[in-house]
Amino acid sequence: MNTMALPGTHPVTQKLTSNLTIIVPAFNEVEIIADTIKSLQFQTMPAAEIIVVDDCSTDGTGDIARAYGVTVVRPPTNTGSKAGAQNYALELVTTNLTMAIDADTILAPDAIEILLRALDDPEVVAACGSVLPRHVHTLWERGRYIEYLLAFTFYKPIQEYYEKPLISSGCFSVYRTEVLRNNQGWNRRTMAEDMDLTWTFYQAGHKVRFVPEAVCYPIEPHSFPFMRRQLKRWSHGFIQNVQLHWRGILNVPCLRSLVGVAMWDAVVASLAYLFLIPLLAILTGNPWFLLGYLIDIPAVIIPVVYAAIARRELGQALTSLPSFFILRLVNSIFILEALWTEMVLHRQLKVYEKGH
Amino acid sequence: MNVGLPGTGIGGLFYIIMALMMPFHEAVLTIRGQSNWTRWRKVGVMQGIAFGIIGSLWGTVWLLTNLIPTDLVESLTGSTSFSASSLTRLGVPPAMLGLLALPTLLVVLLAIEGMRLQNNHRRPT
Repeated sequence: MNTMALPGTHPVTQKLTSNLTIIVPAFNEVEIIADTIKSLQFQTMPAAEIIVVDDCSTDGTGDIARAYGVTVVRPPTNTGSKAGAQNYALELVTTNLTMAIDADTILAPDAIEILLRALDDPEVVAACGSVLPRHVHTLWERGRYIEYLLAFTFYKPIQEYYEKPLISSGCFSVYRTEVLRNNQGWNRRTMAEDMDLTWTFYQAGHKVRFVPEAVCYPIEPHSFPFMRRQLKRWSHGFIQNVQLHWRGILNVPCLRSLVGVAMWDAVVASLAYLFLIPLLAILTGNPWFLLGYLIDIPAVIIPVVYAAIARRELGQALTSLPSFFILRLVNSIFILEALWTEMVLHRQLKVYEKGH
Repeated sequence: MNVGLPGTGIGGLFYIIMALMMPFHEAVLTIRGQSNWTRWRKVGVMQGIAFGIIGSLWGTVWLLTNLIPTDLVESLTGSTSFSASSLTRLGVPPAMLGLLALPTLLVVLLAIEGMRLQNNHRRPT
């Protein structure tokens, strides 16, 4: 990652071409957009075109992107969401494949080459890779790091094995352009446009793949205010997608069980963490009930340690483990808030707030 | 269970069961000529993790029931009513603790199937 050239020079690894356009939506990303573009230009299989959507930034993001020789487009007004910015650029795509990358996300040098192999199967319309936080310093980054290690080592490979990855992550996914256009691009009706798109594809009979070897590194929220915005968006997005798609996904084998169990687990676990466990401990005067917060450590630690050893990050993983349980508790608050607001009060979250 | 969503309860159990079903599924694919060494290797990794989770859960329960002295539990809590040691005295095998979530998971999966049947029944032809 650190062997990248200066603006205007050509990557030495540019040996292959691909029928791929990468869309990078960006709003006030002046501090990080350069790293993102460089990581895209230094791929073992670089894209035919990189389009940065400067979504009416006020900090010169577009100028920085232009200096690196990529296409920069700027809508007349701020589109208001990542999906809006991506759709703006989708109209300009001329290649068969379109990739969406978040402006705060860099890729491993071979990520695109590995990910595109999934689309050798003509039935596959979208594919995504593994995600790991670029920085692991604060409590929130550490908690998210463990969440990612757990999910991308155990849960997501199982979803992939049964050909139903729950979501093709919006921070790093590739799509067949024609199918994406037929879907009118990324829909803005929910706060989780990537989940909406993935479930829409399944209902249309398409295949989506998860390729664990293709790795990306986004910048995760480093403080609670930023984490709050992201969790609010994700929680509401999940509930909105369940409300929107539940009838449709009932007829998609495996996916219906994955979503149903996820929904049940999220709600029941949240109620247990926030109400049942503390109430039992207080009412009975028995502090042993508080072990309920940690009772599943063995279920968490095995996949995490396996992944950490493979990445030679065992120390970092073990010291980050406590943060996971704190983040999970915070997740509970947001999922219950989203459930209450969306399903009981019928007040839909419509304002897209950036995570950083 | 998934990033941003809390819980590893019945969700975790669901994924362990799905992992344990992989070899049978893969064996069917092998007979059909649709498998290969790479796929079996991935199945093996998931089996290892799944059995590792089961083993560590078992080990934790065993630790709680056998190594923590009852006296310590009583002195800390003033009661043994919900301690792990009392479970052993009541004759509850540690494995039962791990199986408590299984009926719940089955009910949830059956409810989903019921919703699917009802939804398809209601759908206009």
